[in-house]
Amino acid sequence: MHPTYSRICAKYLSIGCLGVFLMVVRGRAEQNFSAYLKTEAGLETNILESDSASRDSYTTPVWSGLTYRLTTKRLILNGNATGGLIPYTDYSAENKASVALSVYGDYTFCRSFFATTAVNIFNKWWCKDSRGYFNSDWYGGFGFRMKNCVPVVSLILGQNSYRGMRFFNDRQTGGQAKITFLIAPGLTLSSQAGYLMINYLNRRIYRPNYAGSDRLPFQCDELGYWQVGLESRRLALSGLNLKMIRVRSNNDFSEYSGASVNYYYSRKIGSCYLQLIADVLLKKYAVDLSRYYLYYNPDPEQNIQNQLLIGWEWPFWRKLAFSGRAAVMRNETHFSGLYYDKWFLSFGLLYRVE
Amino acid sequence: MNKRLPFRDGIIRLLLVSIFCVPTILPGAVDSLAVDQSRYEKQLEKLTALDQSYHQQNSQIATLDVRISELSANRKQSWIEKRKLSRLTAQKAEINDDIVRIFSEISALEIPLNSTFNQYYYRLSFSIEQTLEKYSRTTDVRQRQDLSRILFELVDQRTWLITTRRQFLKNDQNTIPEKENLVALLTKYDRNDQIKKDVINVLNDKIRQIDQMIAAARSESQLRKRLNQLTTEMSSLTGDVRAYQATTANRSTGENSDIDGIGSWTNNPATTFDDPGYRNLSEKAALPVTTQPATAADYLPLFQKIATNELPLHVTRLDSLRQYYLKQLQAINGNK
Repeated sequence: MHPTYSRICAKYLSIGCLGVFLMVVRGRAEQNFSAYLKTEAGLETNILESDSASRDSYTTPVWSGLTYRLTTKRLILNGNATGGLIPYTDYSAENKASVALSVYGDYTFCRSFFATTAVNIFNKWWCKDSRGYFNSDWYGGFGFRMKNCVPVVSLILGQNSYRGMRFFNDRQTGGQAKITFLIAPGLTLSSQAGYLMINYLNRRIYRPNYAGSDRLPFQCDELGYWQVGLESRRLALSGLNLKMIRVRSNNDFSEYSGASVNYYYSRKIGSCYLQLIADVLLKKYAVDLSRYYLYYNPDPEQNIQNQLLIGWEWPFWRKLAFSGRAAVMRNETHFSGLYYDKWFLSFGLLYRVE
Repeated sequence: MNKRLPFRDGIIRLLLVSIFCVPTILPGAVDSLAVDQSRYEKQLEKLTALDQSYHQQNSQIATLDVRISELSANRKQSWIEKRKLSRLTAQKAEINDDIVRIFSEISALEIPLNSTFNQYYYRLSFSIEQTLEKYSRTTDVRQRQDLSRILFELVDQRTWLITTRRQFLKNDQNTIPEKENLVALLTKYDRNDQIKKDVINVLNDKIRQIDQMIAAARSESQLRKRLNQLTTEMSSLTGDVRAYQATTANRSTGENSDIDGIGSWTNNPATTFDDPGYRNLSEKAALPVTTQPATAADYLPLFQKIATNELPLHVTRLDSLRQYYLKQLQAINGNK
């Protein structure tokens, strides 16, 4: 970051911290903290995510998280940090660690007008390898609270960086509009549409049989999406999202149309918490990629497309709880030429402070 | 939450109790209270509406004044400007007439509203005294329980009445006694231990109810927290990156962001319906009253209209109400 920007950021950060401190000291703010520490033992298959060299391993991940919330007359500020270390007993080269940070603020100017901003940071790196991934997003926007609907318009800035794979680095700029309706008590319907321009700083487009590839332009994608979702907040918290995606690119092999479905469910049964997440993503590329044997890994495109995740937590004594996770994943990406399955199962002990 | 609802419920409960359970107490008084409350609410509503239109008209006048002074500042006015000036002046005169009308309506309404208030306040105070007297004489346990609940309703109603008085009363009008709580009332009857025991039981019931409500309000936060925890942990499970096109639109903007601000999948319908405007931490939320045994799940519908973002605030309010009852409990125990 440029030194001038750093100074400006540091200045505003210190003013923000001072403001929060004053609000807390003067007793005008409500604060909440919560934290957890978890250790698990589990089995993960296909840890290399490869269709040709499948390798399974036992793993003993350790996770911890901290959340903070500040509420004042006009301001809501949320902060969350989660970190984890994932060692593999049978293949230590794949040991990795990750940190996720998110900060969200909502400031009400007057009765119905509010500003909102969010910063999300995700960093993952391999402990014995030069590989790594860093993602950061910033959202900033304004909204109105009306009787039964809340429209919000926001700007988005984001970036992805790949340690050791610079040609995948990208910068994203765009915006989104979202509107949420309360259609019944505990039932909300939302719709959002957005546009992102994604510039790859070091990645030239691909032309088959083209000799002077150094003279080809850098890849630039345009992503448009529309999403509609329904969320029910009753005894259980559940939601269903349907999203349509269209990507246009100066690289013929990156253009596609997609549709995704996301379902989530979370409820408490007795004293046990149960969560379920299911995702399905279907894509149709403009060009049949399998003909060209394009092989990139890691790749922004290389994501988990179909997955079923299950988690549970059973508090058995004071702040201690048994917990577990199970996952089945299937990746069917044409772009990387990889078709792999993997599953994951773990049990652990969790300590939570609230 | 509608603040007036519990008091209406209270009146209905008073009626039911008076019909089925305690037919010998307060005959006619309950009906009069209901009539007084209804009349008071109607008059108050009308006054509030008049107040609003009065302020609206005033702001319109201010806007017109600015435009008129701008036009008047110009020495060489064109024909159109002169025309505008005369039209604006005419508009201002019309609004002024309206303001005078509204003001006289407000003045006319203050007198009956004042008298309704006094009457309602007197009847409430009288009913409280009467209930306490009846209470001290009653030996039947069931009747005592009913009476203690009635007492709570009446005290709550009177507290609400006192808190609304500033909306129409001037400072120099009608001296109103300070807010009385149960402890102050009980000191008049502190020789009767049975009354204290019953009130302690009722207070304990209320504290238990609030505990369950807090648990219900927090349950959504707990569910989101665990859902987001699963998402975050699973995003590291895959050997590669977080989804790109798949999650670009799903990344958290945080706005529903759950109570703990992680966001992720549940990015979907974050809402802030029924937002009370500025968040007032000092305000004590009206406690939805129920005498039926209930679990935390039974209270969930109460919180479904409240946006996820607002839930912690309601937990805070409920907690302050809980603290209030706990203090009363301590005070009563201290008077023992």
